[in-house]
Amino acid sequence: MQIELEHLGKTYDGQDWAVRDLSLRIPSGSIFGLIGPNGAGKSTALRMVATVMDPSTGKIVYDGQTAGEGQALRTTDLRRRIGFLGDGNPLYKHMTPAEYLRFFGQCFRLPAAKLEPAIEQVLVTFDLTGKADAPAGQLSKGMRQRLLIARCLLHEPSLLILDEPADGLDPRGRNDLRRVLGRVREQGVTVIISSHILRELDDLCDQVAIMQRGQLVVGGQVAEIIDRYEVSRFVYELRFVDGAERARQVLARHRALIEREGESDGLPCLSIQVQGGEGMMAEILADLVGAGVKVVTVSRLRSRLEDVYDRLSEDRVN
Amino acid sequence: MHHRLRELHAACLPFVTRALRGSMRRRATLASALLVVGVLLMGAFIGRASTNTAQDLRVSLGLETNRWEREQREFTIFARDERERAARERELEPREGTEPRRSMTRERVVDAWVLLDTVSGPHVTPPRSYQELQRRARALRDARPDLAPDDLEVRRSYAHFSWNDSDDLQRLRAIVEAQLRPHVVIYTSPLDVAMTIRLIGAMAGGLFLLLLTVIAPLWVGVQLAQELHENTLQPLTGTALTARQLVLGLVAGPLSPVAIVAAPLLGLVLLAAGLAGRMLPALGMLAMGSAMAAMLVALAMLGALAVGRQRAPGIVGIALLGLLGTAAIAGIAVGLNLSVDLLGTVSVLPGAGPVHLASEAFVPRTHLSGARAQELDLRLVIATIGAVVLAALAMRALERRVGGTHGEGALRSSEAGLAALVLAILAVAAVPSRADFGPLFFVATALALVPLQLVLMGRVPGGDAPPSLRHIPVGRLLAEHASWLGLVLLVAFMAAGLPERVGPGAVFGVVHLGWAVMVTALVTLRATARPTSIPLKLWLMVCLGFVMIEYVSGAVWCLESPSGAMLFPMAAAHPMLGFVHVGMFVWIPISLLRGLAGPRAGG
Repeated sequence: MQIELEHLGKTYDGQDWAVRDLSLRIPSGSIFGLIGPNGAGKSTALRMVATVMDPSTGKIVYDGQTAGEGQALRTTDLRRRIGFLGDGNPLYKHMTPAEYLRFFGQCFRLPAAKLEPAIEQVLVTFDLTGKADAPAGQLSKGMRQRLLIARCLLHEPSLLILDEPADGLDPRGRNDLRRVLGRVREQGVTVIISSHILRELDDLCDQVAIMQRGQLVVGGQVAEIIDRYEVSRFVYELRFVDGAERARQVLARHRALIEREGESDGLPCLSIQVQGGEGMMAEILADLVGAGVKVVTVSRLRSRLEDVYDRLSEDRVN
Repeated sequence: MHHRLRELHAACLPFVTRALRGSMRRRATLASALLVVGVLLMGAFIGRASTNTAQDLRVSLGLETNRWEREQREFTIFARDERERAARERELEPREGTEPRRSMTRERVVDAWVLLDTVSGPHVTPPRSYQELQRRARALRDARPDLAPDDLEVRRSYAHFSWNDSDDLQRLRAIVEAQLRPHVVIYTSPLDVAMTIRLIGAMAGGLFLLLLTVIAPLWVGVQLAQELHENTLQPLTGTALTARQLVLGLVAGPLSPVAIVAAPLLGLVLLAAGLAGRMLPALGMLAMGSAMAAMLVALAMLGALAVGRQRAPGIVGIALLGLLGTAAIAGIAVGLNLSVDLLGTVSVLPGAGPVHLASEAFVPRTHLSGARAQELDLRLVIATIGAVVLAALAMRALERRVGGTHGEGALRSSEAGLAALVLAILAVAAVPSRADFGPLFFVATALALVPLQLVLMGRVPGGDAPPSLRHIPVGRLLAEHASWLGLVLLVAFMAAGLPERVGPGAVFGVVHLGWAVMVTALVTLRATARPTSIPLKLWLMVCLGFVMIEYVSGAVWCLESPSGAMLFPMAAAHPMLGFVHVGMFVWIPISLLRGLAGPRAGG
């Protein structure tokens, strides 16, 4: 399902805007990441896309069709094509995963003949077969999260909306989540996922949008965004045998910023940000060698989404 | 129609499946079977058993006269079994040449002889129709001088007999007919099979009404409170069910186990009513009970929606049980003993009407006739229709609350007006029909004022905005509230008539009453529309205290013309308190209006 947000806005009091003038185009079958700090308006935007909240301004177009304004709860046909996992989704603790899925399958009005096979299918897909008859209250947090996502996919939606799905998950749970989303992508489902932990998203998403204070800061394909914001940012990793003090003096002279100090493969290592591009780095390298620093490798670090986000945040603050 | 049924099925299926999953259905069925067996056994035991316990139960339920009274009246001695009967019979046999032994049987015979002696006295003159009976009693006494007790003179001084007392006469006749030899019979229940069936019907009906008007609303309310408290309702709003279907499902799910338990009881009620030939009142009971249950379920859900997020489901359950239980107990007490003065209460006590109809169907107790019976029937019909209308309106409000489409209030203006009209009619119908303009008029108005606050709550804008950011159109809501009260007064005047004379003090009365009504509405708005802290809640309670003082003052000023010192009644206690009263009169509305002013103060 392709989604288009056109000048979407939400205000609760007519003065302050939780989301303002948000315009996005999310291609069908892609994984779209919505990034921003807490209070940026991600959840509000997702709730509007999920049709559980009415926008104050603008509209949302689903595969070329616009949801009726002020009719969020009458869009049941559209609802059947959406799986939405809001934030803080609790389970019924006394229900087993199979019962829980059956309940939601019926709420999505799946026919009885289709429901039981669908339950079997998602239990297998989400590795919950072994716990199908255990009360949900006894499941681990990762399993519960898988069950919640399974619930969203039970009725085979063409749009899956996940609001902070990795919140509170341990590293293993996060890996499970990535694996699951990979499978979902293979089925051609459009996924919109929000997070304030950027490492979860930058190699998973095809496209991202960064929001701050209810507004879109930047949006597009991950690689394009990184390239766009990397032009004036040169970060290198420098490994050397000895001469750490001398290296610092040379770097200070060239006003290079040491971002991180550590070890790499048993050798001292510095991550430095230089002002002036590749030419400046060549000069610094020559001076380091001249100063007796035994440099082993110099490699440029490609920016990550997190760096772009930090940079944008700094710009906003400044 | 088919489409609607399909939609209803789609709404109920997930919730009913959830409610009856696993062993739930089995448990409900087992409970149902146990209840039916219990009712049948208990009914049969009370109706037919001859044990002391069964007899005590019959006596306490008013189904049988006390054993001693019955033995006296019928000149009979009840034995538990054949052995005891034979022993008593032996005691009655004369023994040649020996002094008679003292025994209970002998005492009964001596008591009977003393009664004959009492009515046979030379100065006793019975009415003409009983002179033959007196002659026979005298002859019988004279025939058995051996039964005269030693303390006859003492007994004579305590003896009492009235020719106008039917019990005394029945006893005398029984003694005379039995020729001073009491019947000794083995005790059996006086209730026949038909009465036992009625008794079973009454018990099944009582339990059915209990399930309908207490358990069903309680269970639905608690389940909804749990959904809210655990935030499990939110994901449901994103499914393919509409808000209306969600509400129907939230009702149908918790009700399904209750329905399984209630269904056989309903069968018993109908069967017993059919056998007893009392189908009409039984059907009336079912119709009225169902209407009341629908209203109570909807109100319990609204209550759960209002507090379920902040309060634990257990607390909500205890509160609901307290309210529903109190209403049920009051309903049973009134419904079983409806008198002329109380018949209006069937319009405001949800349990009173159905209990009265259940009693009419199986064990009639109330004897209203003619115009009074018609008045009662009218009120029963009004209460039933009112409950259906209020239930429908409450369901609309629920639908909007659950769906988050209550930005303009959970009730539309016209719906609120209709609710106010129904409440006005119910409140006025609760007042005895003999009442004219007087204190009861003000009681009825106060009676309507309380539920009108619920209607006002339904008009407060909601939606997805936080309460502190909502725009509250205070002026418009106060005007609507005033118009509803006008409707109440209109209905009340139509029913009770206009006051015959209006004194000059009535102007002050109207001012007091107006203040009380306005502040009541402001307190409701303040408590509903904006966040409240504990100090604020205390302040609102103080405000309500002054509302009561002002309301009573207003009523007094309208009905009488008290002295000027009563303009602010607290001044009568102490001048300083009078100043406090005046200060509060001014400050309370101002403080409430300030509290309601939001980001953009409405008016």
